[in-house]
Amino acid sequence: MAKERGSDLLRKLHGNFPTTHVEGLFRAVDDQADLKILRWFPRGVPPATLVVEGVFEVSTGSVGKFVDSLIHNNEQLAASLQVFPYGVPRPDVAIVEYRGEARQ
Amino acid sequence: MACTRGSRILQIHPTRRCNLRCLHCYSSSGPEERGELPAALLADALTDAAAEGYTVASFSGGEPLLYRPLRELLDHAHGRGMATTVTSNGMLLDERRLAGLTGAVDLLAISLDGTPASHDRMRADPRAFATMASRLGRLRDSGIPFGFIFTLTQNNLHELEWVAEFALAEGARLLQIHPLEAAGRAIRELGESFPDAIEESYAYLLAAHLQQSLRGRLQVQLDLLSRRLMADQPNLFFAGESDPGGSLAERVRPLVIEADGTVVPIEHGFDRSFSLGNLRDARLCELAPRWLAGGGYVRFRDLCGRAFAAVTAEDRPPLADWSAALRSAAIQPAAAGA
Repeated sequence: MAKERGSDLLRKLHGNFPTTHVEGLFRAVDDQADLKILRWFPRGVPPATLVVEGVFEVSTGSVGKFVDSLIHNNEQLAASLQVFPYGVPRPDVAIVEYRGEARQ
Repeated sequence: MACTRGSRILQIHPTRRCNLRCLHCYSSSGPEERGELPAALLADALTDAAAEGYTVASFSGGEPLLYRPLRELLDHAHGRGMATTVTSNGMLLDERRLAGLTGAVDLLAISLDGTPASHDRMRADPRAFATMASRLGRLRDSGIPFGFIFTLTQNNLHELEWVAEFALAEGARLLQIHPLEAAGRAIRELGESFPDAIEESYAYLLAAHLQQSLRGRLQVQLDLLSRRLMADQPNLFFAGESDPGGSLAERVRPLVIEADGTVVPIEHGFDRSFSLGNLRDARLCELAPRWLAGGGYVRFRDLCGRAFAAVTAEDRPPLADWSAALRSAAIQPAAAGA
């Protein structure tokens, strides 16, 4: 049997995804009942630093809590976030784009 | 994520005889095993289990297709209003056996451990994948609903997407992801392969991604529970402050009949000190009230309470395998004296 972690092998297939931070990312996602994961694999292979990227859809009522959770559950990562509200006539969901980079 | 622990399942292992000797087999089954339970004994158990509130009869093994009275028992379960499932390695699904299952099985679950090479390695048979795959066309034509069960290890998450694509292409309805259990032959053969918190967290995210991308085409189910969701529902895990009362199925599920007739809670190989007894000594309708009224049930509830407290503590990993938690709590010194 291969002795390498399955997640390490998955990372090689999809890009340099930092598995050591997955548990923190999971905690943020798990805290959010009305969350939809649109994408969470990284783009670009291979980045030189550890990078986590995810795109999520969340209700506008919960977006503040989710963003707060993303940051506080991943404190080892320097986070950048973009939030795009959607909905006509009133926004009811938001697309949250998250990028966390390992602090040097 | 879906909770798979809520169904009132009676899991039956009629034999440990199997055409394979898989490395991860929790019941250490194999071709050398010859014993099997009498059909009449299991028919009585199904009758009693249905009366006790169990709604699903799930046949595993060993390889249940090698158990000749299988069809008779599936029909018996249906006749008692139970849904039926059969878990198989899929290699023996020839025309005759498929005909024997048609109309009697509500879901056929086939083990699939990764890419062909990985599957064959885990199954310790170089023909395991090719033979299983060659049976799928006829299975699909039979109309029997089927799914695949993928055993998650420390080393195979990267093959899950391949498995999902294969399942989809073959017309499966379900992909169940089950963490490798520290039981049976797996302890000896795969001691370093039990998935840790990082692999489980990663699997959760990947399963969520697959659930969403395959919605409506393939149901993806992960047999891990969120600690946060568990903490809100102690009664689902028999860890509420008061006894729920009612039938046996309200108080213990799954209930498992092992190949020697022993009845245990939760899973095959569960600590025998929590056993309800043996069907060769008494029927389930006699064992159940005896166990509920005696010390066995009290000790089981105590075990559930301790396991629940352990897995829902703040400093624990975010995901929990409830069966593994119970298994672990059962071997703690406190359990012996409880």
